[in-house]
Amino acid sequence: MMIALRNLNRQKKRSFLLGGAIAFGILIITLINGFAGSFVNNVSENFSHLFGGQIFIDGFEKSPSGRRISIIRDDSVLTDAIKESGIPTTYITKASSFSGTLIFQNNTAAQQVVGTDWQKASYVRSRLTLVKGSFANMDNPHGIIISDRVAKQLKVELGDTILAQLRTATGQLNVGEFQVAAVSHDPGLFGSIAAYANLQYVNTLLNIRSGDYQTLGIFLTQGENMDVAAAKLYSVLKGKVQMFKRETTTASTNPFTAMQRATQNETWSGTKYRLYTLNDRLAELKQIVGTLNTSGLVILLILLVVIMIGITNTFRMIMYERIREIGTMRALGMQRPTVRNLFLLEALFLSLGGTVLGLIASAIVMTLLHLINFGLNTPLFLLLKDGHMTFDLKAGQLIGNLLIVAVLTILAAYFPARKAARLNPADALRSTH
Amino acid sequence: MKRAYTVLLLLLLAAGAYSQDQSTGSNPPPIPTNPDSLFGSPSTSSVEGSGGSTGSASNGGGDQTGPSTQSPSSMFQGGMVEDVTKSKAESSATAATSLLKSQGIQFGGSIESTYTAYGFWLGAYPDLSNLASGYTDQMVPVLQGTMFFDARPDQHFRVFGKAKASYPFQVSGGTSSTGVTSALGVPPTQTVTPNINIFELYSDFDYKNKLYFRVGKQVVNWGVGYFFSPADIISVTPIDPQNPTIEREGPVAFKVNMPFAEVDNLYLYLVANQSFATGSAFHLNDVAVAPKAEFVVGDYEFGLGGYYQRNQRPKAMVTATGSIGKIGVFGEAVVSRGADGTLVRQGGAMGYETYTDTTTPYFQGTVGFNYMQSDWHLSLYGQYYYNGQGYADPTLEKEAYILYAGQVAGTLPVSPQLSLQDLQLPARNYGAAVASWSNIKDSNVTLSLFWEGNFTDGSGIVSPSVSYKLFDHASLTAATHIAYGGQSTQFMQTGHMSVSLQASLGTGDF
Amino acid sequence: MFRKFMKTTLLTATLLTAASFAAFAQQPDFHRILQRVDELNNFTTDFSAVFTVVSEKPGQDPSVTRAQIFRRDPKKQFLIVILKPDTQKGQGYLQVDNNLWFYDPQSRQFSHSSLKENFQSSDAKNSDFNQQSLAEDYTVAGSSDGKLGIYPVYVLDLKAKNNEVTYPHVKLWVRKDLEIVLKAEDYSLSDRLMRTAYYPNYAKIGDKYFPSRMLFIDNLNTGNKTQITVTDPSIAALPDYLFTKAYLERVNR
Repeated sequence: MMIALRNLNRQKKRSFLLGGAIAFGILIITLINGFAGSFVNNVSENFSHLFGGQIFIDGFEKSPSGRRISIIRDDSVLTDAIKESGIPTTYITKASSFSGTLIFQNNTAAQQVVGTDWQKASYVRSRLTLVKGSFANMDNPHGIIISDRVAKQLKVELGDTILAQLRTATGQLNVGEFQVAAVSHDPGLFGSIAAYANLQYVNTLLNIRSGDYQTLGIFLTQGENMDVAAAKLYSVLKGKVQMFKRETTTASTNPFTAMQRATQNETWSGTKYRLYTLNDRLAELKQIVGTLNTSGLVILLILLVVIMIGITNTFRMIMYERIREIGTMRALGMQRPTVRNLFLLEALFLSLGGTVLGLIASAIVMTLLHLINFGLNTPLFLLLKDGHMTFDLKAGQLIGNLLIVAVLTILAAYFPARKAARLNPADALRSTH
Repeated sequence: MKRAYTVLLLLLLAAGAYSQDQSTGSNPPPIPTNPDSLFGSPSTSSVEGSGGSTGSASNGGGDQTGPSTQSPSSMFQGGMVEDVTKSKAESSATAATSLLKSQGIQFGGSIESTYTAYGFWLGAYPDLSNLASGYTDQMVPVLQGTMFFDARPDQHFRVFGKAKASYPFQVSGGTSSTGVTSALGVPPTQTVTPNINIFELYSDFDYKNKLYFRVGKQVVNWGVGYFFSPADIISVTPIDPQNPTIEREGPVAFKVNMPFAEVDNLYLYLVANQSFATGSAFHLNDVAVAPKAEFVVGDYEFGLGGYYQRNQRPKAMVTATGSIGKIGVFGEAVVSRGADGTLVRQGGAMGYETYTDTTTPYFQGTVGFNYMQSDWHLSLYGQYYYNGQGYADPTLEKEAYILYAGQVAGTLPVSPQLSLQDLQLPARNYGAAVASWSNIKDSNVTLSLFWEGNFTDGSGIVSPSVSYKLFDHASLTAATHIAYGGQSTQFMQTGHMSVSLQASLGTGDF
Repeated sequence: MFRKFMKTTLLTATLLTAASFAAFAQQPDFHRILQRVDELNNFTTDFSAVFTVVSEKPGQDPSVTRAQIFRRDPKKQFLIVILKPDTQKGQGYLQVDNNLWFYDPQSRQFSHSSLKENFQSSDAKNSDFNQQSLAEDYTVAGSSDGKLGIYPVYVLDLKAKNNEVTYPHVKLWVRKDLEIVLKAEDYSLSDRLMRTAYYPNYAKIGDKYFPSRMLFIDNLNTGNKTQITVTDPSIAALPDYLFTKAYLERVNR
């Protein structure tokens, strides 16, 4: 081992270059793994604030004509079930929403409008950046917060009265009036998700009784696994009320849409509830993460193969350069396996050194990137945590990467090492290379 | 009626907008700025029901001069109700036949005017550190016009003709202009654009509105597939999956159609295609016979058909279209006795040889779906194709390309010879899909993503594109085509990657 | 004097009573009127007409589309052939039952789909596309006499019977003598005027009245108007061959 280390040290520049190449590969794959790891967490968290929770319960009734009506009337059984299940909650949100058309002087914009209790809706406040107006204006029962893109489309200013054309919970046409209380920043790709209004007025427009609403949202305590909590809650609720079958994520189906279809196709009496999590809604995200990780691995492998070719060539050169040294060692009685293992150990230490360097470099880069505050005004804000990039690395991934690098490096050095070991000592000593 | 109006409005407004029609025929009265003035007032002079059921002339006059000075109810003068019972009672049948008859000959056509700059990397994917390596570019202008005439001297007789001309408007021999584009979306440079091509020329006539005949060169579509259509037996050119909606040339045929049971139909085609002839002369028994039946069961439409021509492989086919929920579905199944083209197998002096098979039964089938979401301007098409006549072994597929290349170069004695058609869909399993999102967020931008894959040899092509409409009749489209797969696989034959920028200027119908 | 007073009083009372009885006897049966209005929209015979739809939006050129419509309601057959714009002349849709065919003259191909699913989206389905009936869906909450132009009309205030009818509140101006609708106002649940429809012209075909000119004003989007004019209406029998794919193919270029 000492000889191997000493040999690496003899050609510092070469060792540094080779190790550096390995370190670079490790840097890239670690950054990708880390970002992918935190991708789902960040998007999830950001969406949970925008959607109003991590676990959701919708209620549905079927009218005599077969129309599906979204409504939760008496939520005491739901809140009791939440307590009984013991899942750790931060708070519970109640919301109603409609998809309608906002109209202002012949300008229109299709928009989802979410009505929520603004006194308690701190979770939304923390995720909305207001460019005009203030949350205080939402004391106006007809207040509405719209994104700047929608405001531009409608050509409205603060205080303007806009009409909203919608359908009530039972499908009747209705028109409401909102005053623009504030304008929020539109984060781009995921932006214009919804406009926000007061629950009471939205209920009025939907022709829902005061006290009733459509969606109950649950915020779990930080770090709690939403799927585990959802399963617990579901099993408690199942014994108390009618529940739609809870679909689990499969590769080809989106559980949220599967449950949506069930509400349209089935018939029942009274209220039937649907429970789903944010993960169900964002099932596609998992596929994106999977793809990211896979592509990261593919990139790493390609990089490594390229690097390994370099390593093989380099070791071949090393072998030719040290051919007399090898001859001397063999003449002094060193066996072939020992000669071979010497080279392999050099390769192993090279890979270890490169990996360690790469990890250190990743840590530095990740820290620097994390320090940058991109703010909430970027299209990527949903991928960030409070405007900062975060990286979530799993020990298993790190170890796996290390092993891959080690194995590949040893493989790359194997053939030159074996060839070196097979050299005839007399020929080696005679060599004039 | 309300339902009819709603359906009508949806269909008509979806059919397209057109600026105020100034041509002959009764123009509708302009929309009044003050609708209450439609009802006139007792003090203004009334005009009794004038010609046409659109009411009094005072409507038009008063309405055109902006805010009316008439009292709000000036519209409802006398003449509000026109009794058309006697005068129009006979017109119903006339309306039905008037659409089949016209005084003069109608002319029209279209022009396609696109200019595309291609950049492609043939031998390898672009090296990001040296993009110029392996890069070559080409400019491809497409200027094509079609003209048609439609003559309907009589409700029972009609003549229709359509001709096409494409740049460079000179004949120099070669294949039809509807040849398949290469995998990279670049028209093959050896495609020769013909001079004026008579695309269609036929006459329609009927026997007492019970049997309908169409004789001449006509476009015929039997299949229901979008990207792949094995049941489209009669058409001269197959569908190009990368351009599934372009017009495809049809044969000279005699068609008789007998509708029955309201929506069901029986067809008989007699196809006379010179290429079917044995020897130099075309004989009566070289005519192909193809009967077909279509019938509706519930919400599904089925088709059953057969094809026989003495020098070709006989076929039977089944098609089906319908919906599952909001998704349209379609499927085809074809059984043929023998393979249509020339195949490759192991054997012979070169190790691989070509052969024809006229007895083994082959099955081809396809299923697909389409979905439209009009609120979001989204459309999706997807299809899977099982080609029983294709190679399940990718090695044979590769050999086919090699043999064809040798045949064309004259370096390999290939007999029976392979044709380009034999290499269009040579493998056993294919898939294709396209997703299109137009007028994104009410903008002039359209995004589209196309994929076609050969599951047998694992190759395929992905082509995302973005299109921007500058204004009417002017748009720009940027696209990239990325092929994937092993060496010498189908989609890697013609290159690894290309990018293109296309300007469409002045394309439209008239 | 007293006798004269009593005589006058009695006479007045008698006259008033007679008048109120007469008025009561003349109070129209509004439910029947609504039924009659509904029936005007239903054709048990064949029907054909040319529809011209002109749509105006502020800042845009008006769009004009014209089409020939053929209907045979008892058999659920419907054919629409586009006449204008010229670039789409001949394109058409054939509907038989729940099957819809569209013919594309370019590819010479029929596209077949099921109407039932195409027009049924999650919320917008039933009330818009099922046959809506004024008589079944509404009660007459109030009525008054009025005049629209020179025509005496009943002004009927209709309230929806249940909370699934699209327009919860409708106001109708019905011409007294012919019992045809001249004007209709559709209100939202919050009683905001959403749409006004005018029917200033009718065609009489047999004993049916058919609006030959309709004007729809969007009261939420000021300036948006659509006018439909119907010309050449006819209830004469249509030839059977009309509702076939063969006909649709023949009228196309």
